[in-house]
Amino acid sequence: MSKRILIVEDQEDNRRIVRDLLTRAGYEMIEAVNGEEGVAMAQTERPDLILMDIQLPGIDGYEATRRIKGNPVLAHIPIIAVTSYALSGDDVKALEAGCDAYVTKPFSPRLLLAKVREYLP
Amino acid sequence: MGRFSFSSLRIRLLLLVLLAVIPALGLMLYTGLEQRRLAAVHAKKDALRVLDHSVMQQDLLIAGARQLLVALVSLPEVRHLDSGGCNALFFDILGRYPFYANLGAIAPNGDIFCSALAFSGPVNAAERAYFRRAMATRDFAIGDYQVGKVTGKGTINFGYPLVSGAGEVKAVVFAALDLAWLNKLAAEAQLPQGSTFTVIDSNATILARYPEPEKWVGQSTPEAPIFKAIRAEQWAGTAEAPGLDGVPRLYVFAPIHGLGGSGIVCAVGIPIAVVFGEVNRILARNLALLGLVTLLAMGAAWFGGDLFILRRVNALVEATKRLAAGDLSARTGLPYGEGELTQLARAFDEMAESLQRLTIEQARLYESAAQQAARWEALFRLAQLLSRSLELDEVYPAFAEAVKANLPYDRIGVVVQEGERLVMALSVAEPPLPSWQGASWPQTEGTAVGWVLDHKTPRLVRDLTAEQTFSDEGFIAREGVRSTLMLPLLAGGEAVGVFFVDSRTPETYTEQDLELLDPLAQQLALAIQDARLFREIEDKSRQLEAASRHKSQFLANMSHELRTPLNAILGYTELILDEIYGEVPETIQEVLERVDKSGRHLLGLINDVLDISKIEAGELKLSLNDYSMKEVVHTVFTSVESLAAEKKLGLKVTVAPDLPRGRGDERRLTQVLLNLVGNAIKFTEVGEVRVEVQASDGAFLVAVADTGPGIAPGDRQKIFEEFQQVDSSTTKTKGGTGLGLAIAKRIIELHGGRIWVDSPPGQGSTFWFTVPVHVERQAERT
Repeated sequence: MSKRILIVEDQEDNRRIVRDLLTRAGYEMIEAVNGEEGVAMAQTERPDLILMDIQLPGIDGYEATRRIKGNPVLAHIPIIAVTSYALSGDDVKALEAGCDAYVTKPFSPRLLLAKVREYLP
Repeated sequence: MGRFSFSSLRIRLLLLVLLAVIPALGLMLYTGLEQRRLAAVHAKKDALRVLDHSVMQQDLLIAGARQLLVALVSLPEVRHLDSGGCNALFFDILGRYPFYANLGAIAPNGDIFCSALAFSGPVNAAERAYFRRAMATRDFAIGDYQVGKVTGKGTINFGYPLVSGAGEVKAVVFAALDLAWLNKLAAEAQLPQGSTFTVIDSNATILARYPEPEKWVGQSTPEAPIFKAIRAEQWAGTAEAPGLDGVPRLYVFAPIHGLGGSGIVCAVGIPIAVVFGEVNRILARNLALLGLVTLLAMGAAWFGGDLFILRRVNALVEATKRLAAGDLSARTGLPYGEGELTQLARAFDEMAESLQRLTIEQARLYESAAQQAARWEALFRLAQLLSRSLELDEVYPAFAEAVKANLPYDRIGVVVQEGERLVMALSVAEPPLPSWQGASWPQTEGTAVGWVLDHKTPRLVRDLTAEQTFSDEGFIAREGVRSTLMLPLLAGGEAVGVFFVDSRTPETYTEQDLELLDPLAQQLALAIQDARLFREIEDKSRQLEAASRHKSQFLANMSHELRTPLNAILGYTELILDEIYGEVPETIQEVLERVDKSGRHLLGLINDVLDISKIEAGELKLSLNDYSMKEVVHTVFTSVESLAAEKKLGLKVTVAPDLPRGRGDERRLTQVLLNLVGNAIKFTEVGEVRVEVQASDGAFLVAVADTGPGIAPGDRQKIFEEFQQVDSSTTKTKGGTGLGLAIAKRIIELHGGRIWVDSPPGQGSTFWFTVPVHVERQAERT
């Protein structure tokens, strides 16, 4: 059974690029377009990994991460933050919020895939 | 006056008394000496009288002895050398001359054949001086002192020869003079007690001595001082010497002439004590009297000085001390008179009086000056406050307080210009005058306020009822104001308003008040102007701040908005190139690679612009974490390896083996190094790029050297400024925003480090930077 990855991302193109990349790599993709939805889907879908964009409408990626990691049932799910180059210190904040790793946007699909494979080989 | 000192007046007085006594003492001593001399003369006279008398007696005696002997020689019993008859005869004659011890006659062979005194056995007198002299001179002869062979007494013998008709000495007749008579002679002379009478011959044999003849007569005393003195004086004169008994005496001595060259001297000695006794007694008495007088005089000086001088001097001294101690009311308290001291006291009192008057005057002056100074100080303190404060809400009340504290008033006001209108910005009034606080009215012609604003000149009205000129003056006059003072508030030559103070009392204000208030009014004017400027600046800076915020927000938004599609472009391009969507023909692949490269370039530009805008806004924050410098270098090496290879440039990296782990913003340091190495590769056509990293003194030192064209000295600072490239044309050929080094410089500075460049001509460039190994907090913006 293939691993499931939840991507929380409001930009359609970004979602599609990641979807195309990771589906091709053999993962099952589920998608959320904002923070609240991401938290809800984490709970209902129990993905094996979450790719969390930081700049989101509604609650941001930090808050979504905190909520997911604050739930003991979900705390074990690795979360890779997708931080923006624009906002310095996002990486540190992401790790503080409970993210397991981060990639900086704009990311290279190849590097993203390599990072995902660290957690879901 | 407790301390003994020669400078003390009392001691000086006593010394003066002593000084005055000295001539008397000298006179007394002189008189004493003179009297001593006179006494000596008297004593000598006395002694000479005795001496002369004695000598005369002696002479008479000797003359008598000669006559006697001449007479005896002519006697038949003698002429016939009749021993028996002669003895009887001489005995008979001796009875009549008591001062002769014996009479007799001597045969030429020296045997005594006739003697008044009976004697037993033959007695020879051949060795006696008088005999030998008489035999030799055939004349009257005097012998030496001798002890008579017949008489057994001390005598001086006289001899006279009996010469025959044929001139032959047949016998010598002698008479032995009993020296005891000399003693009697002396006893008869009325000499003072203790005096001596001495007859002494040239051998220092004492022939007679009165008193105590039995003790001294016959002794030879060549060593006695008196004898030496006599000899030194050639047998006649006077001398003071101790006598034989050691008692000092005044001696008068003379030879007895009648005894010819026999060298017999008579000396009369009167004890010094007797000679000078009276004189000394008188001198001692006089000295005692003088001493007593001196003591009395000193006593008088002591108490009299106290009474007549010291009490006054002390009063003066006391008064002076009190004056010196600051008691200006000090006076001597002495009655005034003619004496020097009282004149001095009067002069002192007058001086103290004028000093006191002067001091009081001075104190009054000082007090008023101090008041003035305090007023000024208060005003200047206010001025300082005014110059510091930019809040007019603080300025006006402080100003009002300062004016109220220093000037009588019934109303104080500040009128300021607000556009075309005038506003009463401050008004403090004492009832019944109304306050006009906050009132506002349009500027009108013919008002005092307008006049002052226009002419920029103060206006002083001493009495409004007499000097009222303007319409508003009429208005306030009706309110009851009688005197008013108005000052223009001038700042930088502009009248920003008018300050006025009103009083219901005429003649309240003077030119002096104008002078006092002028600097204050100017300060207020500056404060008003400053506050207005500040308000404007504040408004402007608020606008600027907002604009800056908008700009930052805009840049952040724009960056996001630009990058979102760019992400998609780059993402899709990479996916296509990775053939996620199926096989890609080679020509399309090549074009897509160019799309990818241009996209990444665009991304770099966007990032640079974003960075520099954050730097400008002071929003660039370091993310401090532990990092490995070696990894930073490695990351950069990996990123640029292919670029260097493309240009066939050597890329050498030397990292010191024992680099410590650092703390700092790894991503930003990577960015800096990437920028430097990227630039080096970009601008170098042939040769190599070297990267060297070492650590010393707690800092990393990183060098990036290339073999490129180098950088001219004038450009070495400029390249670290924003939007600067050595040649603006390079931007076109080499690409880049020209922001990289400015960003790198800022990042290094935020780490507390330094970045610079060396570029010796023809040797390429070397960029250096240092950062502390451990950066615990971001450096302040410089």
